[in-house]
Amino acid sequence: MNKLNGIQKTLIALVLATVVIAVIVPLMFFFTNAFSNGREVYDYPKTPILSFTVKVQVSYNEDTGMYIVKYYDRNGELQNAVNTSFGEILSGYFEQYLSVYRTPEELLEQFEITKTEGPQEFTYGKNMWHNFKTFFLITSKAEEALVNSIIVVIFTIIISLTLGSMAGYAFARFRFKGKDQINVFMLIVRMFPMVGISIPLAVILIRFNLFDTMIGLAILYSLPNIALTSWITSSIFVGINRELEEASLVFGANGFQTFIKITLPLALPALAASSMYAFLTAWNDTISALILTNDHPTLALAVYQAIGDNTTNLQYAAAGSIILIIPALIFTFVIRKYVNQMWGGVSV
Amino acid sequence: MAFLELVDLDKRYTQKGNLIVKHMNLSIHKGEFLVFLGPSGCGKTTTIRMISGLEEISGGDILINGKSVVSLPPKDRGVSMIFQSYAVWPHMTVRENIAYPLRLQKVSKKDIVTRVEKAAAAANIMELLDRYPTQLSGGQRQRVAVARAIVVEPQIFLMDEPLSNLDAMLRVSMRSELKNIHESLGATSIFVTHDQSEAMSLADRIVIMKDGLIEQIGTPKDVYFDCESIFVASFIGVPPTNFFHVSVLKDDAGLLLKSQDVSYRVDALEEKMLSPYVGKEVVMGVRPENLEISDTFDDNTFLTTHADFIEPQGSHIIVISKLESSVIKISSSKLELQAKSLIHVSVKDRKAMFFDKDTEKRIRLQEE
Amino acid sequence: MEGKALANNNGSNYKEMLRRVFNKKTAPFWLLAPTFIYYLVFWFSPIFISIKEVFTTLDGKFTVLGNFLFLFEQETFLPALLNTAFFAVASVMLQFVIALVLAILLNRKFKGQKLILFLVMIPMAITPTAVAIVWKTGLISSGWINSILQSFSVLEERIPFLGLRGIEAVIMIILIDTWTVMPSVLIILIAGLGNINEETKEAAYIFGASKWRIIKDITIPLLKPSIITAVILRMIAAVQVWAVVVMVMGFTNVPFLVERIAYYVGPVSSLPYADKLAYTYSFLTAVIVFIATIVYFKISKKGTALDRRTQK
Repeated sequence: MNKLNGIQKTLIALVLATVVIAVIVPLMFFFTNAFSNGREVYDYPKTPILSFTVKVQVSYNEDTGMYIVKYYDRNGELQNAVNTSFGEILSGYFEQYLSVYRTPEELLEQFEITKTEGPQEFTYGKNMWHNFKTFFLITSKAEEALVNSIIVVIFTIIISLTLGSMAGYAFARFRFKGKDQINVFMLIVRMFPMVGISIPLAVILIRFNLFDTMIGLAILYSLPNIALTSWITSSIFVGINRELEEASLVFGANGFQTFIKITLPLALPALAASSMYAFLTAWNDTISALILTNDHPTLALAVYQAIGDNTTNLQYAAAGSIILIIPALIFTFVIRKYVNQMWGGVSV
Repeated sequence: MAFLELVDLDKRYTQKGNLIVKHMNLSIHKGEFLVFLGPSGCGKTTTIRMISGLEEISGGDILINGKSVVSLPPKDRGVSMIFQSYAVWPHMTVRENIAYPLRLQKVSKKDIVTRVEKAAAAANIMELLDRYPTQLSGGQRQRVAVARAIVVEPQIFLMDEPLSNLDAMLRVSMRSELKNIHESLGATSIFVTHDQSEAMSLADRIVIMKDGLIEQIGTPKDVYFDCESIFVASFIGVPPTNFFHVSVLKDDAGLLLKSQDVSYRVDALEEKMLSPYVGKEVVMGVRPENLEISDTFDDNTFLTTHADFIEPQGSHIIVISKLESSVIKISSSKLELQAKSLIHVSVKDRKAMFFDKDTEKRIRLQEE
Repeated sequence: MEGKALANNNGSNYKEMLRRVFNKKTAPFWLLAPTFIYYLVFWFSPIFISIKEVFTTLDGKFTVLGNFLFLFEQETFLPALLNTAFFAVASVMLQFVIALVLAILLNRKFKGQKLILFLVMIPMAITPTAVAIVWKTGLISSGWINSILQSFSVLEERIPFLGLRGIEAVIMIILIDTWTVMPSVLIILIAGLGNINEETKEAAYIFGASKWRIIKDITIPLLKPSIITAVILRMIAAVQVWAVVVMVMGFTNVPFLVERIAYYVGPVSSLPYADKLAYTYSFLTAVIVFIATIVYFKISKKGTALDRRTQK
């Protein structure tokens, strides 16, 4: 029943190819952008292929005593760069706009030859990490923000998983009054827009002295994630054979030990999936961090603030974004297989 | 002429993979109830899936009524099927489930109603028609699957281990119902199972398969008493056939089969059969009920041993005895036999089967 | 439960008391208590504050509609509401259709299926802030989108994408959003498809259903719980879109409800009425999300209830 005819196969291949291209092409351009120097960013039309070198043409103007530096853009055309006789200016320009790190003396020495031999071409290796360095330089508190993001992620995961898995266990294993109502309430909490809570929550956090702290932020991020964790884990707990726990009780463990030693390990996929959602909530959010912090931004917020609504110097923003993406990518793909298992077994 | 014919049927799942079904040849008559029996992985389910059209064939041909159907989709083969998991659609009521095949065939609304009710009545689920499958027990879902399968009035009725998900009691009652339905429809049925008692009680003929090959085709009686191979003799029957590795010796009185434990004097008919094997070893198989226990040693005594364990079965006992190189089981009606007592065992009415040690096939009398 | 160690030290009275407090009947209460307290402090009380703010004037007097009327007077309110509504409906529909087609195509095994799935999933892991940058580098007039269009000679002039306003801008944001979140819909649908018993489809095939009819009559109905899950989760997120909008288009150019909140707590937070407007916008957004969710639940309740029962 799985045989397809040629036309169907071609059609499917076309659809899939289109989708893959639509996903990959923006990423390729973006990636190239993050490693572009201050001049390549403005090349047009752009190519989605990384360059590792810069080619410049230097000539000497005897009248003014200045070096005339031109560079080749990605399309092979010569563009004006800088006219100067000062090594410092040359070196500064090379670093800032071409991502080429050379001392003034080095450049002057190399260019000396153009005085006698006429215009010369030079090829330099780009410092590929220039944009990343610059991102940390121009973004105030970028390092602190990175640390903050990690802290807030850890807090969020701890709070959501602890409270959420306890609640999930209660839902899965016990019958009690008001269970359905509590379930509906948890669903509402999960659905409720986080921004709606953030502003009034600021008032409460100030009262607890938690405003502008990572715990305060984690408290907010945990709100939907406790409910989500409880929902995900309860569906897994239900599937865990009670006899496994009973056996543990028979062999002398108490209820708490059984939960820690038997039930939780069996529910590991659920916890992994829950922690991924907690991670993503805390790592990705900007608006709540904007509302609930003053001087201690998270990384996503720092990137957002550094870029704002600029349309220039996007290469630094792209570099910052890559720093932002990598941990999320790693985390997501490590845990993805667990999530796949998860969605199958549960429904809203 | 055969109604359904498999000709040199091959199946492999990947281009260079092993053959799951190897050069299978089989003729099935109209109205026959055929059972594929074999251990899991022997290719029996693959075979009926190829007949149904769910699985492509890798070689050979499948003929229904003399016409090749391999290029036809399932719906044009006149087959219908009951699946192991029943495959009752959970989002449709029982009535919708049974009606769906008819709707696909564009049967008129009026006819659908009458045919659905007829099928439901035959499967005994009239009162369940408006329920959803999830509200039904396993046995009831099974009946829905049966009703859905018979409503299309198929020429060939395929069943892929349909009873394996039912509990033991239900399984026995369902199987007699399936047999009844088969007989009242007059359809040709092919039934896959790994349960030999199911196969024995349902089949007109049983096809015993192993590793993609047919080991034996025959009536339930044939495959039990007249096994074609060591595999069949050991697979069919509880407890299974006792096997003895014996050397064929020639002396003045004729042929003698001998091993550490046993000795068996060959009669004229058997001698003809075994004469090519003089000086070699053969495997001798005797069913537990074809071994007879007596208190005294005589010419017919096959072996002498102790009754190590006795398992009472009510009407008879199973005697278990450890020999030098094997364990034998004897089914006996001597209910008074005491454990540990010395017994002399003989073979009843020369009901022993001989197998070639290398090919593991039955040694038959060569036709002149 | 955790009292066992303590109990051993303090004699049987203590033990008895603990047993009375921690037993099977009270266990769910103790397990739920931390969550309950947490929500009481950090969820109920903010909501209470929020409601109080929405229904009082700047000088603290009670008002029913005052703040709402003030909100409606804002020039950007109506566009924000309409943009958000259009965005939520259109983006969810588009993402759902693409994800469903892909899920069905990728549910069959073929060479490279895993690789394609992996590639398609990548955008899901990309932080919204970064997504905005990915697309901003494309949308600026010397960006890669114009570069591609030019190199295929589709157009002569560069399109000023960032200058787009109104419905065109919203459509552009829908496309960007789809690029990012379609995988999260896909992942749910693929998992749902994996859960459907193959034999239910084969049974339909035996009885003569075409591939298309199997999808229509068997696959999609059985996929309903996954579809509901995916659509609800997407809708809730869609109503709250803002980061991509602001980072690509800037504040106020293409107003959305949550974009307005960010605007009032961000660049203009020092204005006296900014807080009031932010509260009222949050309240309104919450109410809209809530109503949309309830309505959707009611519509699809039959399906969900049925599927509860069908879960293996």
